[in-house]
Amino acid sequence: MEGWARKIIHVDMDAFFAAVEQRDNPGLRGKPVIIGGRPDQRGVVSTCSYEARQFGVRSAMPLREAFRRCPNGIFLPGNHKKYWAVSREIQKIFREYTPLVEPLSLDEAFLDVTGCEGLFGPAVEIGKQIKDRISRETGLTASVGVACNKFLAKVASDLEKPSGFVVIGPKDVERVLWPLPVRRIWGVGEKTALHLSEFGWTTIGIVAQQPLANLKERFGSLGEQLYALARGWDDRPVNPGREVKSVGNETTFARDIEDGDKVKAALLELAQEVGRRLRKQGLAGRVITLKLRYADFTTITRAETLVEHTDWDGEIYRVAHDLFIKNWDQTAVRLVGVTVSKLAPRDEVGQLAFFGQNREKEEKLAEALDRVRDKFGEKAVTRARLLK
Amino acid sequence: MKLYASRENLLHGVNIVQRAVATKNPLPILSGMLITAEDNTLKFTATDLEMGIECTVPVTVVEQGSVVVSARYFSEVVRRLPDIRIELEVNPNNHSTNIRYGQSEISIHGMSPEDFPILPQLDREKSVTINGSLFRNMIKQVAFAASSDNSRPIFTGVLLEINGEQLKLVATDTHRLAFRSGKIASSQNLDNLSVIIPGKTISEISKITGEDSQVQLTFTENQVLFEIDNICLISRLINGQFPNYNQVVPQGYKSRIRVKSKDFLESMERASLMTKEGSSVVKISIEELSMNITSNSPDIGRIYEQVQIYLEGEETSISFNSRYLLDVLKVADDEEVYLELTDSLSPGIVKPVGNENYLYLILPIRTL
Repeated sequence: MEGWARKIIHVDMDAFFAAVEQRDNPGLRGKPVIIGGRPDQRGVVSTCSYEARQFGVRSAMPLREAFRRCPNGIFLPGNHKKYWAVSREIQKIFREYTPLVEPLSLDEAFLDVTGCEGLFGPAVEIGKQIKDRISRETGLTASVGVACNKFLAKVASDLEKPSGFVVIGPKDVERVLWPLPVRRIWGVGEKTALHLSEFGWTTIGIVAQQPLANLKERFGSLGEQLYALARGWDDRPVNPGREVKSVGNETTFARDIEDGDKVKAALLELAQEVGRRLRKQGLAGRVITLKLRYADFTTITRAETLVEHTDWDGEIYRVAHDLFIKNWDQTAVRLVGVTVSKLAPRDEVGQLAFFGQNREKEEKLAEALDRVRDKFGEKAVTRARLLK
Repeated sequence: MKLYASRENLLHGVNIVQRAVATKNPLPILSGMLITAEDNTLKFTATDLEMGIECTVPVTVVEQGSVVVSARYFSEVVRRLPDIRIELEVNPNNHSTNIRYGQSEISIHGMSPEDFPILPQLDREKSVTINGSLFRNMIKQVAFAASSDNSRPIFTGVLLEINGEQLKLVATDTHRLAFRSGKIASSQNLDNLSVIIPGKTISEISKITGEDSQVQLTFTENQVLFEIDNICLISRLINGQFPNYNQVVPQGYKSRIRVKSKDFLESMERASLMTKEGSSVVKISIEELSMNITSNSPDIGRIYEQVQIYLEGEETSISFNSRYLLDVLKVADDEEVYLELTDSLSPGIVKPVGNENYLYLILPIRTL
């Protein structure tokens, strides 16, 4: 491992949603659990437990088909809020080791731990520690791959699922990677795999023996990718993602509005949307900005800085409303916008406060409304003022 | 106006009233200090209209009079004068102020004393005298907990309550709360007094109060006057209702640890080095014989600190802003402190072992 230019870890939770349900409900353990919805509903399997996989149930399979294969399966709609919270716990563990974390979804992430060995030990040790801590702190199992790049790390985590732990170094490429089917190459889907098989190229090893020109001729730019990946080459960086700087939204009215109450109603709706998006992303902000564009296209923005971070619709609306009252020149409005900035992760601004600064009730209300919207759609519940 | 003074006396006067000089006031006269010579004393006065200070020092007056001089330049000059007899002479026509020392002379511009605001004279009806070192110590243990955020003025002040022989000081920024009580000579006119003194005022008081001084406090509806030796400080009070602090003090605890203040402070200082920028979160887990403090920042590193404790009650864990703990540990005079916890979302209580008069509440950080 000394010679590796980079040390990349891929962590993939085993049957994540189903595993969370089995963890929290002992009655589901050892049983085929299928998350996605009722079998008579349209829709597909989002995750299923390993017990269900023995019946041939797979992710993305129509629920009806899953029911045909596994009529005794336990079908659940899934609780995404809960999975999201568990995912945050897991990501928190990652971030204790490195800031370079690239989550691919709730249950999967790349970590670049190059240079972190001094603090936490060799990359393989870090991988083991993370696997152990996930198991100890969340009661769930993860499969972990450690390698010198993203592609190999992802292949590694997949090799011994569930609860796997595999290390692939540059020297292991021929032995480990080449016997695998071409489908394991990043970017090769069903179609490309079929295409490759037409040339008799069924394993990664065979692809690796093709000259670059040959691949480029047949697959264009994908050919270059196939050439590199089949050799275990991959220089894509772990991308911790663009940091979200602000969350905002604006509305252009169908007709210019002179009625202040109508503008306020629009602000309320925007505040709700912005609050919801903040909560979805686990963020809270401290600066609230109002944007006003008048009929003649003159545009003003006015901001107010709060004492504490907020992700609550009511607070966002209150501030936007006050800014509007203070700055509106009583003429027709063409567009209004509300933006929240100076963001921080919700769990780092969780400093509790005395004397009514806590908005526990409001927070609970917002969470309850979020759950309703998660389940029944964004329009399922709204304020009476916003009914049209 | 003409007088002779020692450098030491001039410097004392300048240093004391400098604290009240307006730094960001649009009125130019307030960037100056008024000096008034009468009856062999020189009185220095400065105010920013929130707070005013007067300080009187002995001098030899040849001719009475007064002038307003630039606080900044006059104090810089005084600081650099040689330690010999100083002569101060003001030309009443143009307020030009001459400072003579040995064979040298400095002349600085002055302003008309007529333009300087007059500090209000308070009726001494409601007064009380407090021992200077007690008052200073009480302020030291409480004032730091006040907020610096002006959007909620109440919390930028320190609540002062007098009830019979009991004086209480309370301050909170809503994340932590410091409470200290002390015994004073009872004052009949002052029963059930409750006022909010601006945090800046009270910290200035603690700085200018000597160990052996007595502080006399006089209250009116909107103002408070502090008299300490040769100094008078008058300040507005903060209007409003201080929240009922008693209701946030937890009754009882599930875990109580006893720890050496110095060990706790030093561990916390090291742990705070490894916190994420802007968050200062440290995690404390309490076990039978030890308190483990951890923090980590992926960009810097991490720390694990173990401190010996005596635990009474349950093992537990909680997260705090390290700054709030450091603040209290720095002012807890006793060798040991108690930390009392109920659960990870309830306030922790810090109190010195052997001092019933001090209490510090600190709210935890909710972590996912």
